[in-house]
Amino acid sequence: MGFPTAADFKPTAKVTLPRVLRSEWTKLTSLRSTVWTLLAAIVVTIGFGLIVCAATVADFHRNGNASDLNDPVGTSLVGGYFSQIAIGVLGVLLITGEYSTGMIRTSLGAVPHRLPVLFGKAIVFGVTSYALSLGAILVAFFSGQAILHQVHGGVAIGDPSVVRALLGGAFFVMTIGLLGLALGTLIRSTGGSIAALLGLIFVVPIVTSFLPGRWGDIQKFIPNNAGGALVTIDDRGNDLLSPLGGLVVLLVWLAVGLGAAAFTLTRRDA
Amino acid sequence: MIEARGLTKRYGSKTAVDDLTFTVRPGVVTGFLGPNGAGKSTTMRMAIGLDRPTKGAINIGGKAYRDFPAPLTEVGVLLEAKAVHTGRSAYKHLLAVAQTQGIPRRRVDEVLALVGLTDVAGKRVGGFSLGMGQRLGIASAMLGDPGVLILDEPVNGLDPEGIRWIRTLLQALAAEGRTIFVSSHLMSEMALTATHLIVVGRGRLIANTTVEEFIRQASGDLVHVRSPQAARLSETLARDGVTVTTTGLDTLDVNGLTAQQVGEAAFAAGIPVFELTPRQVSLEDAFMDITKDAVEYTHGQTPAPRVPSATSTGANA
Amino acid sequence: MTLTSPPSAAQAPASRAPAAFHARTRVTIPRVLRSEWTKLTSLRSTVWTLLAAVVVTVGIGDLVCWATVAHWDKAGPRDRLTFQPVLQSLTGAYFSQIAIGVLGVLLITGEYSTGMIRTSLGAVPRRLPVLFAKAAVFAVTSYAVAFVAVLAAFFTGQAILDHKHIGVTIGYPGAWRVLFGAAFFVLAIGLLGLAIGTLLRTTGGSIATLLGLVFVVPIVTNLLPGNWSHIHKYVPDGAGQALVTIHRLPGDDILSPLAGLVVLLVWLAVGLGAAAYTLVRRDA
Repeated sequence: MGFPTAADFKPTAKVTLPRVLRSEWTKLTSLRSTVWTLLAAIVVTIGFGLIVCAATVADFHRNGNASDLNDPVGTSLVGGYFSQIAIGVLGVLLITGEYSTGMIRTSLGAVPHRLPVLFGKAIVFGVTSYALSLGAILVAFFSGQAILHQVHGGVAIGDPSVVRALLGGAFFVMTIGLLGLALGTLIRSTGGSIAALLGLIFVVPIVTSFLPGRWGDIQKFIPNNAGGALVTIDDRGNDLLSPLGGLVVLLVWLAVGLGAAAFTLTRRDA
Repeated sequence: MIEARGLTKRYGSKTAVDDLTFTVRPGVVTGFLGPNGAGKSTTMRMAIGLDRPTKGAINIGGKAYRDFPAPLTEVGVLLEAKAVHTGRSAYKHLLAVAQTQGIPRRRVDEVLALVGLTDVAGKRVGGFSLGMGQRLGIASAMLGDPGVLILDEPVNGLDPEGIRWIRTLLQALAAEGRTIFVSSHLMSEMALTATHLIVVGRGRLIANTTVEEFIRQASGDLVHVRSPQAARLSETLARDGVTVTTTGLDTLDVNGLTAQQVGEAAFAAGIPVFELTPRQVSLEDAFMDITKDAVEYTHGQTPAPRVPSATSTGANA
Repeated sequence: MTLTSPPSAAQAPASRAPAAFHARTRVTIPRVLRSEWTKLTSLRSTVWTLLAAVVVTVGIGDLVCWATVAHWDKAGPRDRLTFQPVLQSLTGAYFSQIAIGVLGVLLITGEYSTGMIRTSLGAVPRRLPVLFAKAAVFAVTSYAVAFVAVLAAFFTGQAILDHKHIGVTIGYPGAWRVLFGAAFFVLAIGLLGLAIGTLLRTTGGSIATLLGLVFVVPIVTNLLPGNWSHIHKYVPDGAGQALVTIHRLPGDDILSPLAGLVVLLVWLAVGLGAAAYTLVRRDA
């Protein structure tokens, strides 16, 4: 028995994007903490939606308040706020975990052109988080609507804009995950990146809501509200962009974020 | 003095430390040996109360670690260097530790000087090399001028000068009457530094004896003889319980007789003898021999190097 | 077969006189406090973060006030009626909450991730003094920093608002209470971060949990229908609002300032209590 020699595999060894993708997939699925977090995000999305729908039905039975039922889709998807955090934090850890453990040296040593690593992570994580979010959202939707049907407050998947809202909701969660990846690459420390991401998602909306008049128009373009435009069905009297506008704004955020991340990744010392 | 009595630590179904009982005495350097995963680090962590034993106890000077009013002045510990915050300077790190028990500031300067880190005291620990981090860990262990030192792999990352410095330091500290308990994988160093050994494997005690005795047990009575009439000497010595191996043209390894007995037998038979040496195996060999059944993680066989054939490089046939 | 030999009747080791300073050494609470203070102030990143929190709080508050002044002439009557000058100038305080909250988490998870926790618990094997010293030192520091931040944000913000004569003085009824309360809320978030960090021990998970509790839970409780929305008063954000709200309209579902303070103290007691229990019981 002997070592495999280089002669056995050298002729076909070469760094290609498909191979980097495969490597990043292995990395993603081999960390137990990642798998558990994704599972937790799914459970929370479905669970919270069910709880709030049940509470809504219970309250309707008691008070007969019609306004409780004016957003059946949104009510069943309340859990999405928590899965935003889970996926966002995962996106950050995907890269800052490598920096804090020193693994980044191994990764960039294997792929010296560097960009494939970032895009490999983005693609693998983007696809995974979208698929899982969509799955969770669909389950939350159907089970939530089933509960709301008890008081004739549920909607069907065929109702206008419902499909768009569900697909858009999953897209928004994925965007937050990818923004986390971008911020993590830029800031490189776990604590700072998570703080920056959650500040962007949750605090900036609060601050911009205080801005008066024309300044308040900025609100439409922050990630939170652009995402809101994607998932809102009833757009009477709110200040959001159109769904297409929301999608475009989110794509611009992604382009700017990942672009800046790509730039610093290739320029800076590892 | 460190005393373990029935010390046991279980993690779920895995038993890391299994009913260990031993005493580490003051005045000598005691080596703590064992293959990877044998439970050495776990034992040391339990000694300073970081982990809670499942059963049994390990006491220092008759007391549990947490009962000391100023534990760092009784026990100095180096478990794993770089148990330090990377953003802090070496000086501030040691100062923060010293302040918990009221150890005076000048002591921080003293230990920094002892380990040779005075020049970099103000620098971020994150920028330290492996050796510097190790020295900082040793400084931290010595901060309280303790009577007991527990060190896990102290020479890790040190250059030869540093290794010799540690050896001298530990022996000097032991000579002062302190209890020195050192674990290491560097067998050659252990052989030079330690006088007593505690060997564990798979959580159990395998040996608790002096270095001399440990080696002697593994070596057996092995005598190396060189004689111009080796073959005739071999026949003369052959008897029950004695094995004679021819190791060269004129050399023999005799197992089962002391050097004295071999010399007398040769003299009685009129055979000249040019070399007569009791052979000792190295500590490494003794260790490997005695712990071979207790190794947790074995390595694959190292293959024989391949000799390139004339046609393998694509040279023209 | 265990290989043992009886202890050699070696010469008695030279008896060692303990060092002179041993006589005065002992782990005491004041000493652990001093040690935690050294740890807090010796990390450059901590100092910079605290500074940044002050600057951002003041800066964002002033920015919002400036925008308000620039827009005031065009503001409708409803906007003018609901305008709250004190809170407007403190808009930036949310960033202090994030900064101090993350610092509180890192105060303990930083020790776990670098392994420093073994040194700290080795020096103080009774463990509880370490947690409470960290809490005490951090509480005092974060309250001082937060108070300076909101005070500066208030005065500079009101000065800007005065350009349209909509600013108020410190004598405005409830102004002092809002300032003290806002700073206390920041402190509470910091200590909750310390508690959560001790319980979960990882940086990422703890920060996510803390910010989820502080920012996301209120969004959800606000959406709960009917009677369920009463929960909102008791979550940290809801209790914090009770501390900083000056005008209470009838029908507003909000606690009194004193009740809000009590609720926050209960959160802190439960959080730090759970943290203390796990710190002492678990393996390091």
